[in-house]
Amino acid sequence: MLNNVEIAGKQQVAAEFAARFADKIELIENTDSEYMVQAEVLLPAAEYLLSAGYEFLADITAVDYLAEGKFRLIYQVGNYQNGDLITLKVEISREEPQVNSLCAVWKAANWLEREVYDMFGIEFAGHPDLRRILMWDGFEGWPLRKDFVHQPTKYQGRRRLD
Amino acid sequence: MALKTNVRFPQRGGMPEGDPNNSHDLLTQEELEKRGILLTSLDKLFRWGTGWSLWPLQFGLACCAIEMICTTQSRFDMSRFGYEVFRNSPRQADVMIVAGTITEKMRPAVELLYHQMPEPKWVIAMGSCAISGGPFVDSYSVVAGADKVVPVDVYVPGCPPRPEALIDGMLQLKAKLLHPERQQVVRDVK
Amino acid sequence: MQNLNVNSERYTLNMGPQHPSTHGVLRIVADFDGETCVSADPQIGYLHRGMEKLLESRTYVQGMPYTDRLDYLAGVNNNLPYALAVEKLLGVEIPERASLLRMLSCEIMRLASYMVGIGIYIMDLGAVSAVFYPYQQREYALEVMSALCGARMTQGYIRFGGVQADWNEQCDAALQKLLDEFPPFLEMYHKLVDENEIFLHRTKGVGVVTAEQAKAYGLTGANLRASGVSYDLRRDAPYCLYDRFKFKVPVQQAGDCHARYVQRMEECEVIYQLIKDIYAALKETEGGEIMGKVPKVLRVPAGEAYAQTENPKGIMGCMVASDGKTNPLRVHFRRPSFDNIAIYSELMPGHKMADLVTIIASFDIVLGEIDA
Repeated sequence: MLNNVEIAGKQQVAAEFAARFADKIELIENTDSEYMVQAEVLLPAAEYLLSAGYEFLADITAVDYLAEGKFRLIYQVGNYQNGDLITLKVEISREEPQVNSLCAVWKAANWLEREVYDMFGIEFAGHPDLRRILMWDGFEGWPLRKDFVHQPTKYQGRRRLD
Repeated sequence: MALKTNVRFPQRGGMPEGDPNNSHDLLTQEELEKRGILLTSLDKLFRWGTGWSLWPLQFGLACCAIEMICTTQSRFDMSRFGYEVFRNSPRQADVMIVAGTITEKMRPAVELLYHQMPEPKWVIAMGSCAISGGPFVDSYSVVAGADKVVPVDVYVPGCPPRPEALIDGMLQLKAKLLHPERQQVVRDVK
Repeated sequence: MQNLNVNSERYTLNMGPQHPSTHGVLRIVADFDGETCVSADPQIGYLHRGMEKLLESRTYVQGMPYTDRLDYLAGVNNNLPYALAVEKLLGVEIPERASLLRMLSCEIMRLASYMVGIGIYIMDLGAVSAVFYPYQQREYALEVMSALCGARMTQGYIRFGGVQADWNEQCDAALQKLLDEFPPFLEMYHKLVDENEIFLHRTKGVGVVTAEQAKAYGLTGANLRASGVSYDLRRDAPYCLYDRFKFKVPVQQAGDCHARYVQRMEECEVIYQLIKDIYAALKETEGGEIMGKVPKVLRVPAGEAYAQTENPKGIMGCMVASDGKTNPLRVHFRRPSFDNIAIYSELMPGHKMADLVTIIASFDIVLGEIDA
C-alpha cells in the first residue's frame, strides 16, 4: 500500500498541519504531537496522516466532560516504522454527538468506533455497520456517559448479611 | 443372583441382638460388614459412584477458567481424584463449575447450559465473581453471583482460587454426595 | 482435482459462547455453504464487566487490581500501561531497580502467557498431550511470581512509583529452576510439534494475513510480526529501561497460522535471553530503592495521558483522564486482542469449518481483554 513513502516525523506533521489546516488544527501546549482538531477537518487530517505513513490507528476513545457539555474524542495514530504516536483530539457537543467515521481510512476504526458508539452513543457518519458491540441488542442507555443511571435487574446489586 | 446369607431382615418392633456364632440370628449392618458383606440401597450406591467420578462441564468464563485448566494439568492433577473427565457437552456432564464472572449478556446461556445438563446435577461457584459478583458487583452488566441464576452447592472463594482450593471444593461436593444427612449451616442472605 | 461445483444449502452456524475452542466466551456466527465459510461475524461482550466505568468510581490505587483481570494470562503486563500513564501525569521518577523488576516480572509473565498460547493452540488442533508440557513451564514461571509477590495469576505487582516487593532468595531459586528447565523443553517441543504432518497440513496456508491487511486492521504483537511487519514497542519506542538491552525481533513472512506458531516459538527464545539479561542487570542494583516518592493519598494533576506497552498479545495502551481528584475521570484501555480479532470477518470466509478453529487458536486471544 505505502511502499516508498517516507515517514513524516513529528516536526513535519506539525508543519504540514499548520500549512494545510491553518486555524482548524492547533498543537496543544507543552506537547509535541497532540493536536486539537476541529470536527470538520478530522477526515482530511486522517487522510493526510495515512499518506504520510501513519498506518497504525492504535486507539479511539472518548471522554465525557459533562460540566462543559461536550465529548472529547481521542484518536491515537502511530506508524510501524519509528513508533511515533500522533494524538488527535476532537471536541463535539453532547447534544448532537456526531463525527465523521474514519473507516474508509483505517479499517481498524470499524470496531473501535462501534465500541465508542456502544459506550457513549456517539454517531459516526459514514460507518458501514454501526451497531452495539459489547452490550446486547436492546440495552438502553450509554453506560460510560457520566449521567448514565443504571437500574439494577433482579440479578444484580450488592447483598447484605443480616 | 441371590445373596446366600442367613440374614433375616429386621421385623417391626426392634432388632434383636445378633450372635456371630449363631447364623440363624439377625445381624446388624456393622456386624455384617465385619464379615465382608455389604448391604446398601441403590441410591446410596449410585451416590458413592458419582461422588468418586464427577464429570465437570468444560465451560470457562473468565480468569478462574485458567486456574481450572491448571488444576487438570500435571502439577495439580485433578485426575488423582477422578474428576478429570471434562465434557464439552452439557448433556454428558454432571457438575457445572461456574469459573468466572457471569454477565447479563451471558446469563441466558448459563441458564440454558444448566437446564441442558441431565439430573442429578450440581454446581460449584468458583471465585468471588461467581460467589457474589466479586470486585465487579456494582457494574451495570454483571450478575451478582451464580446463585442468582442457578442453585449452587459449593462455593470456592478466591480471586482466582488456587487449584488446591478447587480440588477441595470438589472434595466438599463429594462429601455432600456421600453424606447427604449432614446438614448445611445456611445463613439467610437478603 | 476437478471442481464438482455442488451447490448445497446455505446455513448459519453458531459457535459459542460455550465452545471449547473459542478460548472463553467468544461467539462466532458464520454462514456456510456446505463446508465452506461464506461470512463470519464475531460477537463479543459476553464477558463485558464494565471495567472502565468501575475504575471511575475507584481511587487510582484501587483501580490497579482491576487491570490484572483484563489479560488474565499476564497480569503484571496489564498493570504497566496504567501505572505508566498515571506516572506521566504525576511526574514521578522511577528508581532503576524498580524499573528492572517491572521488566523482569513482565518478561516472566510474557513467557507464561506464550506457553498457554502455544499449548492451547496445538490442543485445539487435536494434540491434547502437547498442552501438558508448556503448562509445566508456565508453572515454573508462576512459581517465580508467587515467590516474588505472593500471587499466582492476578498479581497486582506494579504500584505507582515502583513495585510492591523486592527480589528475594526464594525468587532466585525459582528463577534458576525456570532457566534450567526451559531450553530442554523448547528443544523437545520443537521435536514434538514442528514436523507433525497433521499440524503442518492444518496450519500451512490457512488464514493468511498479508502485511497490508495486518496494518490496516491495526494488528499488533506476534500476529503482526508473523505477517512480515517488524514492529516491537520494546525496540521501537522503548519504555522502562528496554533501550539498555539488545535483543532480536523475529519476523515471519508467510502470515499464515503456521507462521504465527513459528513466530511465538522464536520469540520464546528471545524472551528467555531477555530474562537472563535483565536478571543480570538486576543483580548489579542490589539494595536499590524499589519505590519512588509518591504521596500516600494520590491526587493526580488534571490532564490526559496515554501510555502504551508491548504485551504478550500485542500493544496495550492506557488513556487516563484526570480532573485533579482522587479518582480518575476516565480510564480507557486499548486491548490488543480486541483489535486483533476485528480481522476475523475478513479472514474467515473461504475457509473450511475446521480451519475456523485453527484461525481462532492461532491468534492467541484472551476474552477478558476483548470484552473488558
